[in-house]
Amino acid sequence: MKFLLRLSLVFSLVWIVARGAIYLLPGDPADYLIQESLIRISDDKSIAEIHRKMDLEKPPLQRILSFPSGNSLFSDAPVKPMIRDAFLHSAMLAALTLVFSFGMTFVFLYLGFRSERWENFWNAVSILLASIPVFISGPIILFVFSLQLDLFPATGHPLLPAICLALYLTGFWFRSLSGKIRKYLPVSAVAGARSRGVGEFRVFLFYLIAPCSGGLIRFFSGQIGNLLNGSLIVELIFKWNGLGLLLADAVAKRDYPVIESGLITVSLITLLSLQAGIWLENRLEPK
Amino acid sequence: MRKSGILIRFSKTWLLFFFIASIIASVFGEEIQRHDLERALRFGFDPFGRNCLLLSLHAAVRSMLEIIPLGLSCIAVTLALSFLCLVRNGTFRFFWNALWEALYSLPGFIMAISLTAFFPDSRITFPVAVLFLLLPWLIRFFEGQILALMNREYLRQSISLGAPSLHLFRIHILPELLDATRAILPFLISRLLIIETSLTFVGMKQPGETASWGELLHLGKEYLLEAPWISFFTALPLFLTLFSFHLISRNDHS
Repeated sequence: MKFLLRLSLVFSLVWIVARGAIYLLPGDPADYLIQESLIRISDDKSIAEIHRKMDLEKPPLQRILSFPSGNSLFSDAPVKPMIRDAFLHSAMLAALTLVFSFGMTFVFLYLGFRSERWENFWNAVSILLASIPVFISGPIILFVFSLQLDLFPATGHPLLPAICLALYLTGFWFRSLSGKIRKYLPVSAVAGARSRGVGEFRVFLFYLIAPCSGGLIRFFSGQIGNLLNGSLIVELIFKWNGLGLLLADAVAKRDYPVIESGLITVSLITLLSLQAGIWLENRLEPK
Repeated sequence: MRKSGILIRFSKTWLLFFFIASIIASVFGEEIQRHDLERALRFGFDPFGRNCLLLSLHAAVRSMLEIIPLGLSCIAVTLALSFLCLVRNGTFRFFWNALWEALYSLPGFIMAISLTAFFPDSRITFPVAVLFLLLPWLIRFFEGQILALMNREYLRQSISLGAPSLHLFRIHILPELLDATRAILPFLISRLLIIETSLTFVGMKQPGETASWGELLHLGKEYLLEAPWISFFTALPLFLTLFSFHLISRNDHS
C-alpha cells in the first residue's frame, strides 16, 4: 500500500509539473512559440490550431489532468509511436550499457575482493574512470574507433555509446558498491567459508554478494535515472535515436507535446524501476 | 600507500599550477580574444583562429568562477532545508522521504534540459538546473549525517530533556554539518564541474564572451576530424582536474 501511495504521489507531482509548466511561459504560449521557434505561421487560424494541438483551449486544470496531446507540433506525427521507437532505442542502449557496466563492476569487485593490494589498484582505476565523463570519452572513442580505425560507424551503432557510458558508470558503481560491500564484510561468513576451503569465487558470490543482493538491487534500480542522464549526452554525441536525443531535439524546437510525453515517460520508467527495487529489497531482506 | 601519496602530491601540484597558469593566462592573455582567421584550424588553433591552450586555461577560470557561487548557494539552501530532517512527524517523514528519494533517482539532467523549453532565460534556468541536480544528493548526504548524529548519547539526552529542535540544530548539528561539508568539498567541486560542463556541452546556456569547458568540448566534437586538438587541449586539463579532485576526496574520505 505504501509502495503504491509513494509511486502515485511522486508521479502525480511530475505529471502536474510536466503538464502545468506551459502556463509559466510569458504571455500566450502560441505567440511565444511563433516568435521563438521555426513555426512559419502567424494568422489567427494557426494560433487556434496550435492551441488545439497543445490542448490550450481547455481550462488549465482540465489540461493538467488530461493526457498529453497526440501529435507533434512540427512533424504532425503522432507522439506515441515516436516515444515508443525512441524508448526501444534507449532500452537497447541501456541494456548494452548495463551488461558492460554490470560485468566490469563485478569483475573489478571480485578482483579487488581477492587481495587488498588489488583492491587499491581497482580503486585507482575506478577513480580514473569516474574522472572521464561521457563528454570527454565520447569524442575520444568516436575519433579513435570510428574516424581513425574505422571499426564502427560513427552513428547508428549502439556499441560505442554503450561502452562510453559503461566506462563512466563503472567508475561510480565500483566506488559505491565497494563501500557497501566493505561495510558488510565484517558481519558476513566470508572468513569461515575461506577457512573451510570454499573457492574464492563461490565465497564472493554466495557469502558476500548474495546476502546483500537486496541492497544491490535497490542501488541498481536507483541508477536507471543516472543511466538515462548519461544516455542523453551519448545519444547527442553518437546521434543515437533514443529518448534523450528525442527530448533534446524537442526542447530545441519547443515541441511541447513531445516534451511533455517524453518527460512523463522517462519519469514513469525511473519511478517504476525505483519502486520495483525497493519492493525487491524488502522481499529479499525483510526488516 | 606510497603510490597513493605520490598521486595525491601530483594532484595537489597539478591543481595549484594549473589554476595559477589559468589565472595568469586570463589576466594577461589578450591573445584569448584574438580571432585570426589566417591561422584557423592550424595545429593548436580553433576554427576562429583562437589559441586552444589559452582558451582552455581561460575556460577553467570561467567554469570555476561560475561553480563557486552556485556551489555555495546549493550548500546554503541544503543546510536550511536539512533543518526539516529533524521533524519527527510520521506523515511528514513519509512525504519528505518519498520526495527526495524520487528526486534523487529521477533523471535530473533530462529534467533540467527540459526546463529550458519552459524558462528560456538561461540566467535563471542554469542555476535552477544545477540546484535541481545537486540538491537531492546533498540532502541525502546531510540527512545521513543528521541520522548518525541523532544516535549520539548527548543528543538523545538533550531531546529527552526537551531541548527545542532549533537549538539542537544551531548548537550541535550545524557545526558538524559544516565540518562534513568541508570533507566532501573536493568531491562537490568535481561534481559541480561535471554538471556545469554537461549543461554547457548540450547548449543549455547562452554562450558568453569567452568559452567555457563545455562549449569548447562541444566545438571540439563538431571539428573532431579537422581539428582533434580542440578536444584534446580541453579534455586533458579537465580530466586531470577531475581526477585530482576525486583523488583528494578519496584520500580525505579514507
